[in-house]
Amino acid sequence: MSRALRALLLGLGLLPWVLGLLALRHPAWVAAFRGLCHQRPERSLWLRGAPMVVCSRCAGLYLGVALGALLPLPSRWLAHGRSLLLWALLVTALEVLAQDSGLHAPWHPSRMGTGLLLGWVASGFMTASLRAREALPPA
Amino acid sequence: MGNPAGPMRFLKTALIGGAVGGVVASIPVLNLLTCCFCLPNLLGVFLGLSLYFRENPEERIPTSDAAISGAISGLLCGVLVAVLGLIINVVLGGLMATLFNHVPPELRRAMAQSAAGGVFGIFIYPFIYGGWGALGGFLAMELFHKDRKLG
Repeated sequence: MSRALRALLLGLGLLPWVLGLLALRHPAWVAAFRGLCHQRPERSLWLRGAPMVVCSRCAGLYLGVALGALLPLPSRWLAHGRSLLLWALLVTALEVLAQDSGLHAPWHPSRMGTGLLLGWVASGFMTASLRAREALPPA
Repeated sequence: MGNPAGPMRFLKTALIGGAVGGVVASIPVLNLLTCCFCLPNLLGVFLGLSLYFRENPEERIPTSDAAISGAISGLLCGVLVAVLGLIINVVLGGLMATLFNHVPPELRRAMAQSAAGGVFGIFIYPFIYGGWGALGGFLAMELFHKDRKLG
């Protein structure tokens, strides 16, 4: 079951990137993702001449989820998983506030970086926790 | 597996949570919350897990089971968002066609694309919402029900 959950996270995280890299821009795909993300072109990364189906923050978040499925948090960090998650959430929220209050213009590296951090910590925490549980002797 | 009933024991409560999340995510204006880390979906996942713990006050579960409960909630949430979204699209489209003699072609095209996205969503939303739901189930367990964690 642990493998299935990791495969689900990996597939989920890679989906918008695969669509972007393969230039699958059918309007139905774009419209389907419109329900999940605002898709504002100036806030989206452009791949192969077109904006991705999600904005750069979401793109980072999805990539982080995929990364976490492949590269879990180190086991010695597991005890601090909650704190790491809350810190990642705080950093992301501060970046959203700084951008939307006009302190800085929408900037892809900070949008994507904070999304990536949050996605990786959440997914990497889950993957590490599942792995640690698997390593336990059966009850 | 901690419980002989397996993951199916989450079915009832997870489906209730998923139904609530799906309805919230389909209501116009409220559905904008989906752009904020799939919030309605996560709300449904949290609700489903909380209902399960209320029904089984003595039980402790592994985080993998919480993720499965979340995936079930997310899956139903995704199905509902796609189906209700499609229905709302069709109803609004019909309403506009009857109210206005001439619907601008751009608007007509946008509505057609939106409807096509809705049909497409029936196939991909359960996967996307299910994935976020699994992650949400794990996080709900770690953040709000840590005392009920097994192992």
